[in-house]
Amino acid sequence: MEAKGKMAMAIAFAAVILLSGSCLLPPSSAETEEKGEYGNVWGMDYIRFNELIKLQSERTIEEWLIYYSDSVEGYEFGLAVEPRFDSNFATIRKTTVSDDTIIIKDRVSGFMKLYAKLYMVGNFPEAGHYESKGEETMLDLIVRTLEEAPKSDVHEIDIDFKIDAYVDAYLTTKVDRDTGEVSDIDLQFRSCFIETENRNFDLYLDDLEDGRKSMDLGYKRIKADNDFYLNFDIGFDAEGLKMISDEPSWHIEPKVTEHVSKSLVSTHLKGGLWDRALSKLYAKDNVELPKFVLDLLAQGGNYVDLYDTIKLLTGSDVPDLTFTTSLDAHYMEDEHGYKYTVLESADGKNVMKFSMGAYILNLSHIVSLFPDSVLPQTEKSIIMVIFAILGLNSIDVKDISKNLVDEDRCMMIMTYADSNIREFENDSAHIPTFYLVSAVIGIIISILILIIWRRSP
Amino acid sequence: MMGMNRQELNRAIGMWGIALCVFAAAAGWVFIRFGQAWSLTDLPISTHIGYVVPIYVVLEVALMPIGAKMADIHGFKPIFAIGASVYILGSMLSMISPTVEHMIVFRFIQGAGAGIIIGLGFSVVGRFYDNEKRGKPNELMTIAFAFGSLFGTAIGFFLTDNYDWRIGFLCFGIITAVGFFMTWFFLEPEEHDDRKPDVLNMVLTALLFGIVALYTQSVNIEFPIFSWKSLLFIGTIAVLVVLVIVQSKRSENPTIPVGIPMFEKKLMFLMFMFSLCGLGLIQYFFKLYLTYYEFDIYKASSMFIFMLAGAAVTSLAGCRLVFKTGVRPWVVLGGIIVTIALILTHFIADDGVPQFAASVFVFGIGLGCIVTEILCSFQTVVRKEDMGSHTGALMAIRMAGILVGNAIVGSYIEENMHMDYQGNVIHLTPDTEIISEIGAAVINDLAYVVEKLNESFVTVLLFMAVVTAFLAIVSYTVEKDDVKALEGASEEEDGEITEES
Repeated sequence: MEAKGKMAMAIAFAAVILLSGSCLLPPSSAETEEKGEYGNVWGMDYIRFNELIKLQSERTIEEWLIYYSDSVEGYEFGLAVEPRFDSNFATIRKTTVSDDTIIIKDRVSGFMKLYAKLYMVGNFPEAGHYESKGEETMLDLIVRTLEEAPKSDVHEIDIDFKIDAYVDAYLTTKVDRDTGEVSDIDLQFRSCFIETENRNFDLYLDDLEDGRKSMDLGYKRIKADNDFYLNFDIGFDAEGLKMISDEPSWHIEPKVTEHVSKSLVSTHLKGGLWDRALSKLYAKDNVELPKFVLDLLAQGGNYVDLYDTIKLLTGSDVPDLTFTTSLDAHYMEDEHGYKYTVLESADGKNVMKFSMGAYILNLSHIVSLFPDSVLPQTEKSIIMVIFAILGLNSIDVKDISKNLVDEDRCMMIMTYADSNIREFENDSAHIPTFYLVSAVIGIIISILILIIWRRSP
Repeated sequence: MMGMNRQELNRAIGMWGIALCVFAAAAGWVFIRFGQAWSLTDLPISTHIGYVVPIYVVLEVALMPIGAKMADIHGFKPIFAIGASVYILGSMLSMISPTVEHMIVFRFIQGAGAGIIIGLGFSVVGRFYDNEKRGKPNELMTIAFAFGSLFGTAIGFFLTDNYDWRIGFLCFGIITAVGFFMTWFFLEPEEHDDRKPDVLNMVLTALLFGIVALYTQSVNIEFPIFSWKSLLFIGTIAVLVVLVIVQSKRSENPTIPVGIPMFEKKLMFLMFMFSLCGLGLIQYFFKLYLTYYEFDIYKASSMFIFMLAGAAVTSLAGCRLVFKTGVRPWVVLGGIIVTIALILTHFIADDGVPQFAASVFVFGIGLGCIVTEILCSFQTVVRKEDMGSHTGALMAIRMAGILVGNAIVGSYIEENMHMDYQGNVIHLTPDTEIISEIGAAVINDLAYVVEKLNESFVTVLLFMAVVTAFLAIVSYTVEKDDVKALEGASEEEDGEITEES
């Protein structure tokens, strides 16, 4: 008995030591380990922008204004101050690997700022509605109206406008190492857009149904002050989206279902571009609910969660959307040595290139995804050419894990964009003094009521 | 007011004061409801914003029977002072909330005050008025409660739209303060018995009603109706019901009445069921009108004017004549009319504004035969010293019925919404205009949600119509205890007059 008892004690001690000593063992492979960090920055200023204009059109902005001053009889166009244009964007990718899952976190942040002040001197046409003739372009219509239309008593018009735009987006992609499939994707997108205008004319350009152009001209002082804030969080559950395979090529028929968990929009809209944009949105044949949401947004000063609002009003969530497609996949390696999984449609068109490490970012490809109804083909082509000239078709999102300078540059831009967007987000409430005073009086009254009660016979 | 002596006039002013407080308490639940998604603009973003509205009603329902019972023990005025003070305090703190989380806590306090006020508001009539004089003041309280519940949303939207969300709390705080002082200085003091309260019984009762309210506010939102969480809630409620009944039977001073005559039990059952099938539908009537009126909250709320007009037609007569006829004919008639109204709504409400108005007017006529009449009749068989516990329980049961009705209809609509839904599936090809397709899909989904909401609601109306028809039959079995009690009271009075003479 004694021997058995000692044996039992020994086993018990051994068990205790093993269990407590397990914390001294090296971490299991279930813990994550850093795999890579990639990034880059890109942007341009007014000088570079003007150079680009000249490359495309043979003249800088200033030279174009002089050209039109000379060619449009009786008018002079000029810049009151030198325009300011500054844009900077940065992207960082961090890839971590755990036992079962590759987690790829991409962040794209940046800003664009534009300020310009123009003046025009001449005998301006009467206010009214003008339409193009024959095959006239919009520019032809404007020039003909300036030269030939009956004159008003307006001799000088001016406009100054300022646009600041910020964006900060996170994309998290999880890939199951065992199956090689993307299991889920999460996109968090924050953006704000601030626009101010001050002009003494109202010009509205539109396309008529028969393909001709129209122009509405008026003279009044317009001061616009618009800002727009978006904060979206969209999750995607994916099935069959296989990105890693032992085969050199394979076929996939993925199914991806989206779910919106946050859809915050805040607006303060007063005049200028937004009046026209809103009237266009109202004119579209939407169901009643979006019009109600438009009303809320148009009023300004509201902070609306679109999906929550729909749920409150109808008692039900907006159903999720599911996307399906049929694609062929294969591996490729580009001239930089970066490896991709390439997805192609049945007719061989390149749909996307997916990388889990460094990659070349092609902004033109993103622009090409916009439908013609949102961005007409002509404008799309121009933008894609601009991006090509600026080198935005091949932004090298390279390894920066050992390059602190590049990492710092990325973080600076991201921090700047984030801090500007945060100004639209309330970290703390500002309680107006009126309510603070009222609350104090109200609390005193509530205590007074109790005192009256206690002192009553 | 004409022909009133001084005491009657003071009492009337006091009742108006209480009615103001009942209005504020009823509106306090809903006035921020449709605003919370966009009105709390200056508070930091919070994932808890969905609790701001329901937390109020959980405490409101939990404390309705408690406040009314405490008035039996300590008198009406002290408890009313506590209720008004707590409501005003909760309102003021909510008004200056720096975060959503603070607001949730303060709304909890505000809801507690509201529950005490509403529980007292209906029982006070029975305490201060004799049987046949209870009709008008009960009608006043019912109208105040109805106005607050039906128009609170529009009032809140108006205030938020034109000023900001904080001012609503200030307005309702002021209304409550004014109402309190009117009542305090004009209503005469009354006797009370200072019985020792059964604290355990009160806690169990508050827990029971609070958990029922919490369940109705959580189901379909936090968890589906057919889930383990839902079963757990229902199980807990069942256990609490048994506990409360058993403990109340043993208690010397129970919060809710037990061992009551069948007459009272039937009236409580009918109040619960008519609230479930009738009043519980009002929130969904509102959503129906919202979808019809392109989500114009003012126009949608204006439809309730027809409901109140219909209710006024019958309840003005009913709350006077019920003391002669007894409650039975009114509830039977009301059940039949509500059944007709629900069927009418199913078939014609979609056709246009006049049809909407007609169906909801008939609905109001039906409800006007039921709610105040049950209350008046119920109070005829209750002793004044027990008025609080009986009436408080009746009102809490009514409120529970409304919330349960909401939850049942909501569950049906939610199940129906997803049952047939195939899901919008967009098959992508190189030629797909993704953004246009997504836009079209979202618009189709919204249209589907709106269509399904309306379709499901008008379908559930038919089911509710069957239930109300059944309730009309049950109503026919209600005894005439109220008539007997009135006759007995009248004989006593005659006896006293004879003795005096």
